[in-house]
Amino acid sequence: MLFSSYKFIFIFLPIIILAFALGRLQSARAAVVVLAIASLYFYAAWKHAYVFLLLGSILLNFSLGLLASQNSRRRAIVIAGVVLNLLLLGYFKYATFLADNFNLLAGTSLKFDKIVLPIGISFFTFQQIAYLVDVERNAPVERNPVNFTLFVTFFPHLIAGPLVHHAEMIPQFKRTELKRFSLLAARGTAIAVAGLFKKVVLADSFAQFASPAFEHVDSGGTISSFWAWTATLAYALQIYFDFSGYSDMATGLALMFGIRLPVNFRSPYKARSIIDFWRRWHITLSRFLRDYLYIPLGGNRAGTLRRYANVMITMLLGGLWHGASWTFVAWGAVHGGCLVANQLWRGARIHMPGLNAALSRVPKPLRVVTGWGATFSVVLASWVLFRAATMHGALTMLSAMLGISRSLTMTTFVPAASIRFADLPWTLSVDGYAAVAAAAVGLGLAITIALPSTMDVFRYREYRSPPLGKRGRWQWRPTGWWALGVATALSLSIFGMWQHLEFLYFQF
Amino acid sequence: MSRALARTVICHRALEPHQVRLAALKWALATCALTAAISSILFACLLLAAVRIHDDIGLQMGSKLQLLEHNPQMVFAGDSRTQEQVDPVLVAKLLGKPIGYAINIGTPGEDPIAVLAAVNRHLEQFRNVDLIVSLSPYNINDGIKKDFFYPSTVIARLGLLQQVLTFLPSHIDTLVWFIQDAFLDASYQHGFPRLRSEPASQLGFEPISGRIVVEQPTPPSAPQRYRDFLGSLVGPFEGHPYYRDWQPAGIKAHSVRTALCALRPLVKRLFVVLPPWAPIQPMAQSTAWRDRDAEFERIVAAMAEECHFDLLPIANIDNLTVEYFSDETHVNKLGAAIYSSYLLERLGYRLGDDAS
Repeated sequence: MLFSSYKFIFIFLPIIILAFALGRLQSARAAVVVLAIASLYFYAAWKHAYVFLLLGSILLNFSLGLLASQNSRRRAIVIAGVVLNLLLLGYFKYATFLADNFNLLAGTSLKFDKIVLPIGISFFTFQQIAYLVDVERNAPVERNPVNFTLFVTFFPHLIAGPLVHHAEMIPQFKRTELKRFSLLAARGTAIAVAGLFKKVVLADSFAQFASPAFEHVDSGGTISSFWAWTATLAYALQIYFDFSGYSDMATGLALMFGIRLPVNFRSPYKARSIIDFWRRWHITLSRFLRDYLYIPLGGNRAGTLRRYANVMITMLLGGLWHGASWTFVAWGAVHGGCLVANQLWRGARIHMPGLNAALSRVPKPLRVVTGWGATFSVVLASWVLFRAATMHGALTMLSAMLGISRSLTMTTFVPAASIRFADLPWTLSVDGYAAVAAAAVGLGLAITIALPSTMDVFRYREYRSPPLGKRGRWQWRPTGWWALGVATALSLSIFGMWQHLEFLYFQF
Repeated sequence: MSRALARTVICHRALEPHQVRLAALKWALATCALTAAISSILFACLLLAAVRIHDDIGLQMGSKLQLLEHNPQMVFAGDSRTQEQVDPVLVAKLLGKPIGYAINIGTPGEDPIAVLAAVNRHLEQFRNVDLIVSLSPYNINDGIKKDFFYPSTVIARLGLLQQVLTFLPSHIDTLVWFIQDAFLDASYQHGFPRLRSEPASQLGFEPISGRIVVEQPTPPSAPQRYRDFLGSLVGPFEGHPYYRDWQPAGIKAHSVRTALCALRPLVKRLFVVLPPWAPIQPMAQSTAWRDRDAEFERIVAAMAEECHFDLLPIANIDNLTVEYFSDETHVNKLGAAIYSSYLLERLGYRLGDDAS
């Protein structure tokens, strides 16, 4: 069931809100049980059989957590649990990829054609690995199976994150009282609508400028420099609004039930360095990779070279986490390389006072623009690797962007020149289409760079974070004007939902 | 109004918990009400725009009209029971005529109003043509309101209020389909796309492989939307989309009669064919179903008398047994040969010669 589907918005959600409210009248426990059952139903709506896989995974990790907490061989139990989780993930997500590569090297014909990737498996597996590792680190073990089930399956984050941490979720399920719940629910509604709007109105609209071009180069065609830039920028905006929209919806939906999810997204295209970018993009994945991969590998405690190697390993595996393909590995490698370069640069500024002094003489706006430009260029180029289905397609696109495209042949990309919103096409001339595409991309970039993040607009704060400062005039409050704005966004989204495009992060 | 709208529901001063609750509730209700209002206005605007840009000749039929380049003498039109059942290449061969003598411009859900629009747009090409149009019970049944069974040509002729009263709330998807179809057709304002090579070589005939499984009649690889709705409904006729909520005296029947009467003088001869059901239960044996079929035939016969066209009801064809059907209403690729030959005989053509 998609968040951006009529079934979810007009049937599932109202029923669950009503059931949750009735449950809360009974007790906080009853409300938690309602959410757990609803979340399992939500998952089962995709493929009934796979809910048993999810329940099996939960049962395994819950039991191992209990066992580890009462056993002197805690470390061995946790290692066994982590291995089992990785095997499960490896079988469903990487078996085909590994078999294909093995076949290529060994000339064999191993096949894993019938594996269907369980939706959200990367997320619920990682969350439970983090739980087991923390149990090994003496974190409190959860003894209530309903709380544990809801921590893993809570439907707003189940399919595509944020990657939640048990310590920030389970305590919220144990609260007996919710303060200012109505206001939280109203705020949650507004945030969820903002997310829906980003997804169905913005992201899905940018998809039409990106997808045909990438499909064309992936199938062996060539592309002009203009369309390579336009398609890549459009994809950068599509994935931005898609993922940010999903994260907003997840945050808003959870808030409707009084649950605060961690912030996953903070205007990443405003980043002025690649380190800054990873503090803004998919924040919860960065946090997981740091805490459960980079630091256990030794982090920055084992010398400079080892530190950079750890960064590279973390980012390569982070790339592979997104999908079983060499293009994702290459994407991770680019980001890893840039993170290392960024750290080297920072080191150089610390250890070479002359360089720092020279840089400080450069006007600040120029430094800011240069930092932003370099960061955005790298991110943009890496999106080509992320989006292209083949390495050949990625290279064709990157070459065209650099203006060194191969000879433009009969198979040069020509757009269909049909603008589509809400699945309603409107045909233009190719020149008119190009003008609209360029204008849309320009406007999208301006939105991502100039406007505040959703979390700032709606004054959202995470669980246990301190209260925010004074409210700005531009920030959300439950007024008539905000009701009109949210209603307009929701109405446009309802029509945008006529075309059924999945969230990009569902595939991960 | 604007002052009221701008009024802050929650002021800067600290509020009591019950006031906060009330304010949040008021805000949520206001948002819902405004959403309903804005969505309704937007939907009405889209409906009005769709009616304005609607073309009776849809995308599929528009593409098939390119087959008129063959200067055909026989044109088979109508819904999927023409598109999938009549092989114009075989027809020409049986008549000893060159390929292109007959063409098939049938498309799913196509009704006589669309055929009339096509003839009006290509008057010269149709003047000396024998036009054979298939008609199915849903074509005159106002009770079935699902897309594909409620032609966009008829929806376009309803006023906004009547569209809303007819389809909302339970059949809103039919209006969405109508809007999307209208915009899709309009996006080809500079000309319909060329036919794909395979249907072109078959002159519009698009047969369906696969065989009906009586216990589970939906064909496993059903490719089109209307097929999701058909096939699984072999049961009492009240449940079948052809006869569900049977209302044969409404706007659909009126539109069909008007279109057929207008068509008759524009072509050489006009035949209306009522294709057969698969010889399975309950269509073949149920008295109630037979009675309903007979009523449908009587209504079309009255139209034939009024509009002076030839009616060819086909209750069954001897050797067209159940294995020649892909579902309860459509013959499959093998059945199409038998059906086409039989239809030719019933039309009064002697094989190898034109009876006219």
